[in-house]
Amino acid sequence: MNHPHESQELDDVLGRAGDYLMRRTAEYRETPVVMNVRPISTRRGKRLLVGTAAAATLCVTALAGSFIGGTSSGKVDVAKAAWSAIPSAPTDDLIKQTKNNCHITNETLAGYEGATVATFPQDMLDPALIDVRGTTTTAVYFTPSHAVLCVQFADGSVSVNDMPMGPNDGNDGNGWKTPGTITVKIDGNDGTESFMATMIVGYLPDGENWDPYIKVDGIETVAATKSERWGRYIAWIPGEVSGLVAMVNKLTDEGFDLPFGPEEEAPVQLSPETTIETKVSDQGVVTPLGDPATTVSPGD
Amino acid sequence: MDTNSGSGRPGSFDELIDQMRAQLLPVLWSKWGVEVGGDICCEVEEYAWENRDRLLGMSNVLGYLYRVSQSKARRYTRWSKRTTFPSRFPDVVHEDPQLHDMLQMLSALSPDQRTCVLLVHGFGWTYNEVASLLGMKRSDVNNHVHRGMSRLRTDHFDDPLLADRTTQSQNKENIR
Repeated sequence: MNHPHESQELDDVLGRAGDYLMRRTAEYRETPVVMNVRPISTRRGKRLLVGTAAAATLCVTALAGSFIGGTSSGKVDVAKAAWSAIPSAPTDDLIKQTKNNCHITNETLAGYEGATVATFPQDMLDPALIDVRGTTTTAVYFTPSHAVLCVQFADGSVSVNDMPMGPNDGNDGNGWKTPGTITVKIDGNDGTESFMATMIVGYLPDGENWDPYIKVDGIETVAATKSERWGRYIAWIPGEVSGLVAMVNKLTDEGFDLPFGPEEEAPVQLSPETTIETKVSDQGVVTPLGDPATTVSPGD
Repeated sequence: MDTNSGSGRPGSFDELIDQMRAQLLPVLWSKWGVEVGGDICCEVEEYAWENRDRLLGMSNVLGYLYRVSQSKARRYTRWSKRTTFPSRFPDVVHEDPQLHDMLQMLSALSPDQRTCVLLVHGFGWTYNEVASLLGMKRSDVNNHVHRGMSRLRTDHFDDPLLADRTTQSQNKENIR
């Protein structure tokens, strides 16, 4: 026989599950969701108020999206968790804070090229990608042979990891390489339990309007953050996971899948970048061969 | 059907859309998950627009549109093309482990059990309202809710954290 307080506890968690699904639906549809929730006990009465407040917050946030999220898309920005399936756009303040906290310098990048001294173009000292998921921000820098991932947490602390990543020379026969992954350990917010995460960095196909999505069994589709200028994307998922990167062309509706897994590693490449061609002198000085067409716009 | 009782039969297409988003959408996300449920709802809204004149004359328009949504869902679920209700929820696993466990347990229920349990115990709908919208007998809804809740209670108390609590209390008993 079930005790009344056990049933009430179950109802309470079910109510929170309903709230969670409602919030995620609002994020997925990018519109507020207002639904009928009726009080069925004292506890339900409280939840009704919370639900109503949440719906009101969603409405206000959707209207003020361009101010809150720094985006003009009007995206509902209610994610407060450490991770979210859909990244949000970084604000100018967040970009500045991340750059300051990551503190990536010429010397830092030179270390990944096996040189003690090197001078990189300014573009490479700014994050090429900034991926914001919940309270976690990942800034990605590229050298000719590596991707440097700087993960910033809610409290401002950072963790820097790197993975080999050469130019996209299409040496796997598809015209682009398979995505690279690394597994990192992430400390939870506010001293909560640490967890493993799989970071996925890869190349966009040639042409424009490609959107990368990560598909892993059992979780909803994850949208990656891309930069068409750099021709690359970044996403991360809690846990040691394997799955598919689904490329979808939003104009032509073309698509294809690329598998990834924690065991796969991108091959080390020491040749110059494709997007910014550089040359390395005997003294270890890296200089660009041509100016990029546009300035860096992280998270574009 | 009493599902429209709170807002009445829709008099315009805008009212119909409001009712769909308030009442049909929760059914779809409970049954098919946030993504597939959301996508199906978009398709049903499109269908509703194309057939608005006919639909506005119906007495149980949401019940009818639920049947339409079931037809639309086949395309998403055939050959297991897409994950419907996810079994992993990485965004809440560390923030709210209890909620995460509940979502995982819900994913293990049958779609009809999950829908009925969420609508009745999560959102406070009456059995009649659920039966009317899903096109089921009230006794069928009762069975789905009863079986779903029984399974959740069983899983709930198999939770290792709660088991620890039980073990601890048992140990205290043994010490006495």
